[in-house]
Amino acid sequence: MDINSRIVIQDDVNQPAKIVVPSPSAVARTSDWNQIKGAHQGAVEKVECTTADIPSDRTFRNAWDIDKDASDPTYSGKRIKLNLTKGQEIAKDKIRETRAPVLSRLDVEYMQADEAGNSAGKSAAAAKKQTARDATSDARITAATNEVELKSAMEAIQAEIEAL
Amino acid sequence: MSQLNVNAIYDAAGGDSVDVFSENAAKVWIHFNGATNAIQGDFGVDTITDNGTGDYTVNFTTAFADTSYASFCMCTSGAASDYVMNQRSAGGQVAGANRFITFASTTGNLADVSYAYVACFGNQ
Repeated sequence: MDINSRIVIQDDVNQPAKIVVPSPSAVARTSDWNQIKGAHQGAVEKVECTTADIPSDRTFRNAWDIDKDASDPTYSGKRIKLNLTKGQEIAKDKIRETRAPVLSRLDVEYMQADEAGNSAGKSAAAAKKQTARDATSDARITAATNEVELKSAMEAIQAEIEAL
Repeated sequence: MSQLNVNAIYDAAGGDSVDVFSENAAKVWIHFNGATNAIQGDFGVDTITDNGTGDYTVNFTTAFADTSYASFCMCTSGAASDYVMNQRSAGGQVAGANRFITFASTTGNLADVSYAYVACFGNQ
């Protein structure tokens, strides 16, 4: 064990995989994981690995599952894999975050058009608001089959919302 | 091992007393990056557990005597937005560990931060 060592654990499939990280002072004291305190002690589903096995992109961090079974057809070759269903929900949440200020801005546009008696402006603002509301049910999210596709779809939808 | 038994320690000039003893010194401190899990420095920490986005447990080398120790935490993202670090309410503070969350001050959503700091004082 050294400073780049990690242990991935996941005893609850409803929770994301946890990553145990040794401290510099612990590494200076021992190279034995068994001598170090942490959540790995007592964990049933766990695997030792290194920082190279942990994704650096944490966009969908709460959708990470432990990936320890090399015989599984979906084995990623690393120790973390994306739970696609959870990832899609995270993508929707991030789209909602992007959408909130845009909807506020469109509310103002709608009210200003209303006060000016501009029915065309009202219709345009209402249409944009509906587009923003529909964004979380965009088929590109459910069609994504992996992390790269999911992130690409999410970012494209976020850009479209911001451009409304 | 040698042992000192004294009632007070004074600075080199013989002036003010130096009031740092085991009772008031930090038993645990850590500075880590929640986005990369890199630990920049620590004392009295064995591991941190990355539980998910903006959710970390600091596991102590030596457990405190009970759960009445004092914990302090703060964080910053290093970016324009402000973030907050709190002790997790449910099951946060136990004798051997403490669990913290970091979140955006504007939305309240859990988020990873680049600079997280924790210090704990109490009896072990």
